[in-house]
Amino acid sequence: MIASSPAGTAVEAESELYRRFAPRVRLFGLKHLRDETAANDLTQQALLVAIERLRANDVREPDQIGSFILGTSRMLAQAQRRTERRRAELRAEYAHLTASTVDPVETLVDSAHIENCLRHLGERERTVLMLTFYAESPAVEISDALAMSPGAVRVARHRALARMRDCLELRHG
Amino acid sequence: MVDEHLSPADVTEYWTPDTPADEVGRVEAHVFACADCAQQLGAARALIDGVRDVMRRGRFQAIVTDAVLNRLARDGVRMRTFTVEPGTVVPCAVWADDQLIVTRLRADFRGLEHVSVVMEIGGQEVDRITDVPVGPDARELIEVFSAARIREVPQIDVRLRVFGSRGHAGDEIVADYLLEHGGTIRRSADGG
Repeated sequence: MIASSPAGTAVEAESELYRRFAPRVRLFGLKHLRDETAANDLTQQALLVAIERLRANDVREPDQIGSFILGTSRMLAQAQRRTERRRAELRAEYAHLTASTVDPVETLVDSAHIENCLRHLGERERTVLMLTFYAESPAVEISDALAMSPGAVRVARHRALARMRDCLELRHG
Repeated sequence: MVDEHLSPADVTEYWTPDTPADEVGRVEAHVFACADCAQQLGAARALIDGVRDVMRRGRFQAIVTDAVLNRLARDGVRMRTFTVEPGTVVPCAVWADDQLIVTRLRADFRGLEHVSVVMEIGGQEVDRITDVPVGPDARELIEVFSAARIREVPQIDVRLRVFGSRGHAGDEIVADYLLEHGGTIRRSADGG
């Protein structure tokens, strides 16, 4: 649709593409750039590049646009880590695709509920959860600190996250 | 092509620092072709961000390690620390702008199993933490309290006791600490 339309005439299709893939690029950015602002920048850049390439008929397999966007995200993340340079001119040109047109991946989970659900975890699971996802300690480090095997650490962190999810779902009805 | 959906373990492991690059790549390739799994990955991340947010705001109580305290310090969380030895009486207080109270409970915890920490206020048990994880060479347990919660406690003695067992012996008191809680201290307008 975007590829077969004259430039600027497929606004709806472009917005839909952005809506579908922006959350995924943002998650990719959070994983690899470890910074909210950098992840948001990456999201805009990757999607703008993808749309620009689609408009120019430069994407060989438009059906595989997800792979193309992932590849673009990888390339841009590497570049971003090296330079932090911005692509302000692209953002200005595609102003109709600003963040206000994109649904966030997830709204932030209510912190009062999280606080309460954290309280209901077993102590070992809570400690492992905090070490893994807050202190970002690898399983081997945690296993040394808490006299658990790395396998037991993996089980504990998976169980802790699952229990948190179940607890929150229960509270949301 | 969308292969089999990601498992809950795949989703959890993706957000840990342990996942090898090829596994990260596999998950990402799938997520960019599968909206359902992208949703799952996003939901897990939102939950993790929520936990981080609660921790940065000091709204939790837990047994932690220095790795967690170091991260809290980097995030600018205001912590007040009390180090206590068994059998000693330690005066303590909470300031109006504290976010977390850190108690470093010193004792020989090496080889200890089935560890519990019990808190008594005014002679009444108010909190009991069981299955406390203890390192093989532990000579310290670090318990963190929400300062907001401590501010609700009046001037009163707070007793912390650690129970555990070694080998086949039954549970016993390993260490007993007494904190003389002086209440909440508010800074005067001139900062004094």
